[in-house]
Amino acid sequence: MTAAAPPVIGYEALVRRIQRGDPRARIPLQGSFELTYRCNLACTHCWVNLPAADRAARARELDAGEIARITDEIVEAGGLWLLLTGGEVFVRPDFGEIYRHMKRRGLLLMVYTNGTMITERIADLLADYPPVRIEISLYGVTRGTYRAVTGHDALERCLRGIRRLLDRGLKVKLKSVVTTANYDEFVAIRDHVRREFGLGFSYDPNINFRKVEGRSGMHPATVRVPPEKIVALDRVMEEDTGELRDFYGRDQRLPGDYVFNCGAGLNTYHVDPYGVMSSCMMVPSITYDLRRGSFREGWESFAQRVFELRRTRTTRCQSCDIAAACDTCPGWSTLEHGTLEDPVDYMCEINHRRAEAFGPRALIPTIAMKGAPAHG
Amino acid sequence: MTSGASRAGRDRAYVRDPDFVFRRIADEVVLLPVRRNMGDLESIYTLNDVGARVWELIDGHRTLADLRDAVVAEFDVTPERAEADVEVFLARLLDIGALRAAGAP
Repeated sequence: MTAAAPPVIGYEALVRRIQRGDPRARIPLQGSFELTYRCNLACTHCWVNLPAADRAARARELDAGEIARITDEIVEAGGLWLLLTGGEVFVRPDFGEIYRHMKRRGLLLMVYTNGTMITERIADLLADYPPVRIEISLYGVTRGTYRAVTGHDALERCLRGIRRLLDRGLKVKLKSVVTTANYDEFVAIRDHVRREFGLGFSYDPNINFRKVEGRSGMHPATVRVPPEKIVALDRVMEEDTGELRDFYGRDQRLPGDYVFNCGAGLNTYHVDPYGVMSSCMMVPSITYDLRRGSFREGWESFAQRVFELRRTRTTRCQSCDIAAACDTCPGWSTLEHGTLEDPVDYMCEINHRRAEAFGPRALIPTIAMKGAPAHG
Repeated sequence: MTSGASRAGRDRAYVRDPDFVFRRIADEVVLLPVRRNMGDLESIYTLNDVGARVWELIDGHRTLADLRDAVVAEFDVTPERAEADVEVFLARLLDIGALRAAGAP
């Protein structure tokens, strides 16, 4: 045995090595941390956003000291990769303190943001302590569409934020949720992103039911785009990637009768702005209060329970041969139905329409559907 | 490989750069760069048992000879092999910026 030079290894390879050592070892390698539910925008599709000036919400949030303590405990328990999200993380004036501490403890960080609060100072911080990636939601490339989605005339600020990060050589991914307000602009967004930033653009039709109350009159499901229009959009955007065709070409049957098939309770966890730990950010029903105990106690108290949870009844998902491709999961079911196992019709329909369009069963060649955005 | 450790000789001591974080996760021991210009942020450096022990022993005072002796005392290896390996290891750490020679700015 010799010291040897330290070989370079990527994160994925490291995780594979750890799991090869003991595939069932419950190590909280990957997590997500909602630093706040408050946001400077008011997107119609959002499932958590509270006003940035919501004093009650701010008073409930973990302070930087509490987050530092939880960070230390996550690291001690083996945490390595952590997503910071919100709300809008940059509404917190102590973001820098929180972020630097996490980096200095050796966490690999990813940041979700709307990009509108990325000042020169924030960009410098991120350049000094680079995250693995920053993902920015770009909801439109015209003022009207951006405002229709977000409720604010903030497109220019978002674009400036993106440019500040790219100018510093940071890794940025641009994306958007598809809503009824920006559906017709998607090809334009993709083309703008390609032309102005030289980046790809990803999109997500999944709009959750609201998780956090506090914005009266907001009903995200009402801005969902109908499944047939999502698949029409897929057909246009799929030209670039072929990802859906590859995806549906693979075996997509459910692997077993576990409730969670995503690593929840095995390697993943979530912490909300108030210190409540759960198996994922969408399932607030199995929880542990990190203000009352340690991260390790929380992890050990529910990890095994979550991981070994078996289905209690039969739904149509068990006989579905593409169920593993569906975005329905215990989180979606919880938000939509208040249960862990009920199928979510919206996701189910998108999945089956995509399988028809892109899977080996596809019988109909690409035909533009009514309402599909024009080719860019 | 350029051997900064070799150039420095056996009597030079080394200081760990605080912008590299040493972590044990399950049975893996890794070095993670946390600041800009400190290597590829998607890269993680893995250490074996000997490398991890050497990293822990680097304290700004121990020299290459001290580190070699510690490795010989704790692992089944000849002094010659231990010195050669520790030297390569230190050189690589210097290359990636995880170490600097004690007294250097």
